[in-house]
Amino acid sequence: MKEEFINLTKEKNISGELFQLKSYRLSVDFENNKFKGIDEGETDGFAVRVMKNNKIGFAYSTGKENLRELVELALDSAEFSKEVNFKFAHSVEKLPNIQCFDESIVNEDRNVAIELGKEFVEFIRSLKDGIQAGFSMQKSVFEETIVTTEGFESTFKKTVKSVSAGGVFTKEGDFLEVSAGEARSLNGTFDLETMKEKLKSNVLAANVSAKAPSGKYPVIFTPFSIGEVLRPLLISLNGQNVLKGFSMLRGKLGQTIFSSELTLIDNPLLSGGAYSFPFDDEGVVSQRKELIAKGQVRNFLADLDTASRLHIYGGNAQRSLSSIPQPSSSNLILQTGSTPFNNMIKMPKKVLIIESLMGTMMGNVIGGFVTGNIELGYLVENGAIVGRVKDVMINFNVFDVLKDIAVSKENIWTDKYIAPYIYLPSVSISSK
Amino acid sequence: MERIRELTKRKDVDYMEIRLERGVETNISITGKKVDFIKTGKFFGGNVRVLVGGIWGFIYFTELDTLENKIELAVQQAKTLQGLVKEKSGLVQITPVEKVVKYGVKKDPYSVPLSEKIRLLKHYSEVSLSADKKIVNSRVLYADKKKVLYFANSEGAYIEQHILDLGGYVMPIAGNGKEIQRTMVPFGSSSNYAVLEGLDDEIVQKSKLAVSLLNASIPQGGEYPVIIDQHLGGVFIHEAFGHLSEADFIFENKNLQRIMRIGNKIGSEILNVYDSGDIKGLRGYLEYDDEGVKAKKVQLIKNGVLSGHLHSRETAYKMGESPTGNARAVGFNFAPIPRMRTTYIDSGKDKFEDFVRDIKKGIYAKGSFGGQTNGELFTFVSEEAYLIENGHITHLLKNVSLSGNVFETLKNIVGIADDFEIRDSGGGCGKAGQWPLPVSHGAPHIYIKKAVVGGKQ
Repeated sequence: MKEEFINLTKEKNISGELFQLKSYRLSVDFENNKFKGIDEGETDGFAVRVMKNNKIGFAYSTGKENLRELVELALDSAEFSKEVNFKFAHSVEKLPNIQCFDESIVNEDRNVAIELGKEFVEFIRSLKDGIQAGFSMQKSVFEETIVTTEGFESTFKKTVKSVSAGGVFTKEGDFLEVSAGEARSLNGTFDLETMKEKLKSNVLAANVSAKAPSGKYPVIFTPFSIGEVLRPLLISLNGQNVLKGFSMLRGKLGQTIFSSELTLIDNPLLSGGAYSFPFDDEGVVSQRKELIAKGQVRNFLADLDTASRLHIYGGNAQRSLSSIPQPSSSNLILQTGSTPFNNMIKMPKKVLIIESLMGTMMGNVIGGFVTGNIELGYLVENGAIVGRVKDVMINFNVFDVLKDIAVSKENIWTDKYIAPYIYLPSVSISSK
Repeated sequence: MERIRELTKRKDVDYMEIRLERGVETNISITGKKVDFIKTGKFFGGNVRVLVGGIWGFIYFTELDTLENKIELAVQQAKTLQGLVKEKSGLVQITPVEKVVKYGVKKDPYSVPLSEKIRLLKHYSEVSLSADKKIVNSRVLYADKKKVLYFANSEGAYIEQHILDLGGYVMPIAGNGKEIQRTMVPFGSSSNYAVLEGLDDEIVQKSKLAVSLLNASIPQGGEYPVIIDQHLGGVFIHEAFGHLSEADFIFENKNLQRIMRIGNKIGSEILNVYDSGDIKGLRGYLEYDDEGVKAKKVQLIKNGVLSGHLHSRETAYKMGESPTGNARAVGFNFAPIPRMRTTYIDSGKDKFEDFVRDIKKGIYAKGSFGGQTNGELFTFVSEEAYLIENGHITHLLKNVSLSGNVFETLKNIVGIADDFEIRDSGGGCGKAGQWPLPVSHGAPHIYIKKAVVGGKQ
């Protein structure tokens, strides 16, 4: 297919990029305390991008479509696209040696996952009478090839395995949902005991309920809920949003606008990371990027197009078979700080620990707002958990609250994040 | 297809179905005056699902040539799991159907040249940009998908459905250097590209609203009486109650079975809720589900009393109820599970104006950027909201989120207006990794005695 593609681009006098993705997925699921089943499958397909007169077109296909037809479809759309001033990835001498493929994940017998599922279900059921346990192990194997007319040609294989478990308790007036998960590209890097501890401590803490009257509270986000705080930040750190004017960090490069405790790194080179890769989905060699260093805005996530416009390094393009490459974060590392977690919960008289929020995706995320319901959170008084708070809304803007934070010494590697606990001194809480 | 029908007839399985889909899609994204990208794609894929000794096997693929091997894999998968599952699955009996269904298309997006689509969408973006100086940007998203779904099973069913789905939005974005506010003009249809036409006035109006939101105040957080509009009402009933009605969530959960038992008093007496596949033109329109079951109109709540569940053949079998035609899969790489179609609160007899007059201090919330629920709690963020004081709508409010307990809120509905409306939008419903499934939802204006409103303290 490679030669055919290169010949087609020569014939049409265009530059181009061929992206081929083979993927295999197997998932083993338990629901409502029971083994539910396995589903399994593979997809194979390719996408082409073509460039003519600096205008770019895209088309994809699964199954057996004709390459010529697809190139022509892409050319049809190129006519209407905006002008770009980048070139497709060029040849590279050496790619970084990333540990992101594990033969033992590929060959692992499905009974291993079934046994692990049984173990988790039994464990979760032992935590509370009447709780309904669920478990899922999913493994994927990807083989990605990129060929460009600029001379890039490479293939890499990657494994991703994710393990997630949780429990649902449904009694009228007392719904509880707890969950924890991890994702990695190498088998040896899982820490399933931490997942179990998390599930156990959440169920136990929720057994008692506590009241949190409306007001301002110090709150702690855990490594499992940190994504809620980082979501608006990542939208603003996406170079594409910077260009479009959807970023609160536009024009802020080099400025210190957050607490000096805040350092955020995007690292696709992380050994064992579920989001690790030697080159991104446009063939640009992966690099570790400090996005925010000690409160200073240092870099943005970029694909080739964005990088050329912002004059920064790309390497952050991600896509599925059927989607256009876009800047996206890989493994995210939030640096640890100096405060032990145990001191953090003792600092104020009252503090809320947030395990999960609900409904925050729908708020004004672009503007930095986190507006939602505390799905799972606890009130802590004088360093001891009082109980679970419910029917409570939380409302803050990350660009305000991240100016003043405390960061824990301890951290946890979940799926996408390696993150500590973050303490925010004053956040609005509304309750009935 | 004869070959495929023959392949489903295997003696060593209790049941087998083969689903194939083939189609085309186009996506267009515009920001400001520029086209971000245009995507065109052709997709083909399929799956085999078998039931052997009460155990499911499921394999999906994009390569049809080796279908016999895939069937063998699915059968072997189910066979190796024998003994692991204590409670066997089964299917409620239905009469197999042989039918070719073509959803009536009024204006086919594939009869409109790409150049014309782009011209119209760019025009909308410019209408928004020129509506006010404080409109700093605009986003326009358009997606369509046209596909043929083939379904055959070992009971002799053969259904071929020709389906169209399109949706998207125009989003004006206002900014003042400190803050960004956005609004949305949505569109969607399963039959008509014309839903995209004639949106100019609405885009101007929503652009001005986005600018006004910059200067709107944030409400004082707390508990208030709330009126929600048709769109928000639709999102509410879909998220807060529709998902609970999906029988896969109920049938293995004894506590939830008690709560969701047919005959239970679940809401106020004026409340009537339906899920139906039969409203033509809407994105939630469906003739047959992905198990070949005719899509029925299901009344979920009748005068405040729970009266129906949403079933697949498997959940109907396990709960001893009739299948409803709600088994849906978002694509060939997933097995069908109970999902909604068009979910709505039926029209009432009250007047919106009377609700406003009745409220001393409350909130009128309109439109929605979506909602989320965990079964008991729900949260929604409205697009725009107003303070109601002494029977009058007064100030515009921004960043208003509503939250509450689903069951308490359904009982706290004290008024249902006579102004029922459904307006489709882009995107779709997500469940168990299957997103975006085309669905629709709507309602009349709903008056809720109290809900928690998030805001400043």
